[in-house]
Amino acid sequence: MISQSREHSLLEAIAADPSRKVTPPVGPSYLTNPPGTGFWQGVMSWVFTLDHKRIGVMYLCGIMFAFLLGGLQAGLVRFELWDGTPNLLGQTEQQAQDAYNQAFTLHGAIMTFLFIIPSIPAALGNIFLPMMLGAKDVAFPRMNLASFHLWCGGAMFFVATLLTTGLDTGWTFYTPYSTTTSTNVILATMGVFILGFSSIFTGLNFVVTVNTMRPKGMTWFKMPLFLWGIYSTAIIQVLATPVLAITLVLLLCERTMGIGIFDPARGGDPVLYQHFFWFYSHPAVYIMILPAMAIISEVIPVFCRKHIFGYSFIAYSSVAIALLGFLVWGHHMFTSTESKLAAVIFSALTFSVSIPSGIKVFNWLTTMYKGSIRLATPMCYALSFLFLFTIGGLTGLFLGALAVDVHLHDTYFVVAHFHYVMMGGTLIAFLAGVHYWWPKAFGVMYNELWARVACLLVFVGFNLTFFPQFILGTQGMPRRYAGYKDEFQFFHQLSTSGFVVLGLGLFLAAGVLIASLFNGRKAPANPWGAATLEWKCCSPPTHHNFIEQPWVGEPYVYDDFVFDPDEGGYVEVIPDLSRGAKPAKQPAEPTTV
Amino acid sequence: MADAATLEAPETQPHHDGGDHGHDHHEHHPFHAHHFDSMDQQFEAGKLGIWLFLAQEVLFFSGLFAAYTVYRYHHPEVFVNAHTHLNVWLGTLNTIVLLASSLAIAWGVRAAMRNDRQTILFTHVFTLACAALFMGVKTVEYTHKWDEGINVAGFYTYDESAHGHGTPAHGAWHERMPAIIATTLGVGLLVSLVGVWMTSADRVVSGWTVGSIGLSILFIGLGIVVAKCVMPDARQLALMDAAHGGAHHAAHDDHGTDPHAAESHAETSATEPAAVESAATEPAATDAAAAEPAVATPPDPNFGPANFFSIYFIMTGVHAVHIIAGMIAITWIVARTAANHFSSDYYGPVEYVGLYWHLVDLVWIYLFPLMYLIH
Amino acid sequence: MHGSMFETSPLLPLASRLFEFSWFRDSGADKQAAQVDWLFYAILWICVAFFVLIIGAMVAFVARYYARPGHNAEHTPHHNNTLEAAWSIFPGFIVLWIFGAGFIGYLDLRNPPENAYEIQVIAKKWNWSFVYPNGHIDADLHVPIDTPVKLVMSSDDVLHSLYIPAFRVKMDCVPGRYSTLWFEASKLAPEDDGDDVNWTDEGGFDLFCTEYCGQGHSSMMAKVIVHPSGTFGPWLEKAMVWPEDESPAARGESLYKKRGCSQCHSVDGTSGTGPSFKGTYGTQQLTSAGEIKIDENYLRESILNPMAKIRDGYKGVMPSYQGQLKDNEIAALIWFHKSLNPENAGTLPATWTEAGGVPGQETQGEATSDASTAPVPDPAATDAPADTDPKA
Repeated sequence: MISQSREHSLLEAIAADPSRKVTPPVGPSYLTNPPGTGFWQGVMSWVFTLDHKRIGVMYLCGIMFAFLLGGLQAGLVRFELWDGTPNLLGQTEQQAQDAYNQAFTLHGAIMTFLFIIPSIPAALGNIFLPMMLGAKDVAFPRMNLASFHLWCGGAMFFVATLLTTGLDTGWTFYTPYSTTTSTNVILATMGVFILGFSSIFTGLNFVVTVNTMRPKGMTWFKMPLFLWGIYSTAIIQVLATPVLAITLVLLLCERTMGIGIFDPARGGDPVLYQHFFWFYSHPAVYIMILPAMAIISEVIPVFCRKHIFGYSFIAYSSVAIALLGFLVWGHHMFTSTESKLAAVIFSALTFSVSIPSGIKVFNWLTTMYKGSIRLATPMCYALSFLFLFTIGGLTGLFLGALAVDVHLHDTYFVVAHFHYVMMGGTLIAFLAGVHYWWPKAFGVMYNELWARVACLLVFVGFNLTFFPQFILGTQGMPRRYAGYKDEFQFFHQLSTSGFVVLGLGLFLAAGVLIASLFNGRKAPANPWGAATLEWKCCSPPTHHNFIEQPWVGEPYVYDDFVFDPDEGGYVEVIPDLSRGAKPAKQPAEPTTV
Repeated sequence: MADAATLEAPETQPHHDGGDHGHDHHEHHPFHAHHFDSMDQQFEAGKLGIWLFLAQEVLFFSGLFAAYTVYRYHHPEVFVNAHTHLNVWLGTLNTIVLLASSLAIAWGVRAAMRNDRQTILFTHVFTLACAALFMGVKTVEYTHKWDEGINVAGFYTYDESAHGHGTPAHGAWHERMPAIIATTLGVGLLVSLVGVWMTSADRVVSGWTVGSIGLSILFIGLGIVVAKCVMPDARQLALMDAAHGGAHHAAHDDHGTDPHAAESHAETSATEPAAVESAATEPAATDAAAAEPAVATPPDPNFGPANFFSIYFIMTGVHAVHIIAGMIAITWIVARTAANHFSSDYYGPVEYVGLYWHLVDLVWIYLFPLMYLIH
Repeated sequence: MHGSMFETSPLLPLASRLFEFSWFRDSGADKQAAQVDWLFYAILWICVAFFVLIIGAMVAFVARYYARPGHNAEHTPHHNNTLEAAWSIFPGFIVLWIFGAGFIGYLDLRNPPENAYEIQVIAKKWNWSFVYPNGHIDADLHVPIDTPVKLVMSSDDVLHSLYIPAFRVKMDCVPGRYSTLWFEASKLAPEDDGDDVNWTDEGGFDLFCTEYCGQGHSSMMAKVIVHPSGTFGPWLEKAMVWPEDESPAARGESLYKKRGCSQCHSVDGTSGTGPSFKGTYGTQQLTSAGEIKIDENYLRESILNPMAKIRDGYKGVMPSYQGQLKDNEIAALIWFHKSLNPENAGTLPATWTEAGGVPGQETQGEATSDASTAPVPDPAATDAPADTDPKA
């Protein structure tokens, strides 16, 4: 049991015998090249790097660019909706409507395919999965690089779409609208197709890495929960994405050659397209949220200084969500002339997914019980996640209930619901993760105060933006409307005001992080006192992650960690070394309770 | 081949199948990637990787099979009738060819485990030849249908009355075919010979690579020749027509799938406003139009043979793309084998490509009965 | 709606808005709607309970256990299977109940009664056509009160979805198949007095398209007008017959506004998706079929077969109105078009009588016979895909 005296005794122990203090050896940072590297050589050393961390950093830059692009489109949408007449984005009402349709389509498509799906797995996962596992790299580094290059290719197709005639199909590309519209569906679907393979490559790499590259001592149930989450996600990426790929191939053929599979004018069935699309895109929702939950499962125990509660339940619930996620796609089609039987089955299965999600929330809460909760920025985001994800998850109950869904389907209620889950869930957890791992990835500490102010702004702005949309939806405001009736104006204006606050918060968060790169204090190896392996190498890590293969210990036992003012961070104290009970390079025994 | 002995020569270190590999502390294998602890781990990782990739491929095809199933369930008669355009003998031939290739490549993997370099080379080249033969036969099947006007729905111009059942096509592709055969056979033979010459001139790796490419081209030509021989001539077709022409006609009765016809119809009515007017004011015309709301150029909104052939072309087309990808991968294996990269210590890529090839084969094993053998 | 940003600032009415706040806009307008509302509120309170529980615990833990000198984390068990089972199974029962309630309510929403009054719906970019059994086509949905009404819906082009928030019903309109939806209006829209047989189309409940369908998606609205008992039949009969003393151009203008023409064709000279109507009647214009004169024949053809001659500078995107506009309606539209060119001012008739009578409406008998042959597609007889359920 940790107590004040324990902390003192640990500090005294390392003062008496500094050799009991575990400090990782410091090596050259993976971010820098050896002196004398030419400029172009340096550029090439990034573009064609096989180091998972550099690929992850490039992904991070890429998705932030995509997020900015998607966020600007969101701004166009919100400001057009300040009043009920489509007048902001075009001279005439028709032009404004067209521009609005393009804005929300590109907002959705960019945010989904270029930002959220790769955000946590491809950026943070790439940097930290091998390190948390104790591996030198992912299993297939070249495939990993190919994944990033494909992402860039896909992004270019999107930018090309944006610069040509745009896209106005909605991110779902529903037929037959997508086969008849005059906008650039072909470029955009090719972009999504390429991004699909980028995602498959990432997922495949992670599954193989976790399965085959665990070092000695890293058993399945000693893996940090982040790895369980990413592993479940990776399975979905490998198994669901190809269905989207073939669907888009069929859509491309439909548009270029008229194959009559999805186009009712040629005898095809547009509802079949929806089935195919959602067979991928519903599991894709879990590609987005599972890694987010995984980050929260890391952050909460560290900042409560307590072992995670119900490790195995959290781990299994990730797998359960991943598998059940494949069976619920039909709930997007309750009003798409789906048969009554299908609707009932999909509704029942949908509710079954709510159980494992609930389990996670309760486990996180219990982890906080009797902890020592430190409200550092990552924890602030984690609490914010709990708040927003709870709302997002609970409002899913309305949409799963058939009779109520008929009323709410395709209204702003749905828009609010999935923003609470996707943005309030995934984006906030992504920010939690970025703030949590920033010192490790870049070796600098950011300004805590301003980072927390940004977190508060994001939280307030987010709720102000999206909570009114629940009310709009229930009152009957359909989604994807460029204009609306006067009755809806009040809540739309609240929402747009919230967008401004949210945007300020996000820019502030980005500013704080970027500023830290220039004037941030040098980060210690373990600033938060976490016990997972990525903190057992120096900050930032070296090219091969670990100079010495670290001990694989219990990921959530913090008893041996103590804040060492000399280091400016936490250090692990090897217990009882004098008694020789613990030879180096052996897994530390879990401390009994 | 004469140079077989020289090919064997670079084998410097005797390898054994036994359990002594898997330790990373003896000499560093040239193909051991730094981030793996051992060659065993590397092999296992690759194997899991390729199995996941195959799982991904299965799901990729599953979308197509799902579309097939849904439409077959709703329109069984369209499938049964339209499939009579497919030549069962060519399908059977391709099935046998692919099965043989699968057997050969499995043999090749076994040879890799036994350090039998020459067998790896010959089995893989044989597989390549089979794949090329398959593509040749497919070429004949596709072009024959294009000549008949059978294509994906958007380009489907097949007209029962104009063609009559199974008339051997005399379209553009048919006329081009002798030239294509001559080119593929000639170029293929030439390139193969260059490959053989290079191999004998001690440029082993490029020799086998060029030879493989040449052989592929040659066998595409051979495939076309074989398929043309198997294709029934006019007399046989007439007999077949008599046998099940009736069922076939039912599939094509009075549908207006010909876009050209529809277009020309639209044009004529456009130039005669009076006709439009009179037609529109006639109560009967209004009535019919209302029952089925008119679209400007009315394509056939019903699921018909055109849709069946869309599914056929997309499924077999996607499969053919996989065959071509497999051919490239097999050529890569041939080149690396020629460079003496593989041994019982390191044969992962041989096995991975073999697994991929089995999957491509397996997909065809499903496609063949689903397309050609419908009853 | 047309005010600037600042005139409609949210700050002034903020307090009053929040106090008047209600989740739904219209309550009790449909027999089923009450059930849906009840379930909505039931789930809402369940959610509020869970939210208070979870967030309450979170806030309490932060307040009680925040890190401070002298406070340390205590060890508690790492897992507790009884607790885990409890919070898996107990919410399980709750969601099972929600599922059951939603399922029962859904069956009621999807199964129309046998005797329901049937109205055909044709959705197209970007307007609705409601086809009544007697052949009358209206851009708004008129229904009798306290009568089950079944809509049999289809689409001419892309996906649409018919949504009446007041009745809590919604169903997609899918090209190539028929879908159905039913409701039973049980009260009039708030602004309606319901006495007027010559309906002026003011008020009514909202009807929206909720499946994204392109440019005019957000304008694809209509009204649901509930007729008090005894007034629906007379309204429907009267709607079929146009008064002879009405101005043809005025009738055309009303059709222009209600049947979707105004989505693409302006009357002020600005060009939208389609050319403006202003001042073009009688002029020579370039089209895809060469130079033509815009006259009755051209307009009629362009309404019925829009792809035949497409004006230069425009894309051929207009759907055909074949079977959806009757002769008299086309005539009225042509009169309206004519009236938009000042050169024709002198030639315009003031009433239908002056114009030679309403086309197709010489005698009452003929009108009825027209109606009997009018377009009411029978879903059962046509080639609908198997998963539609027209008989249900």
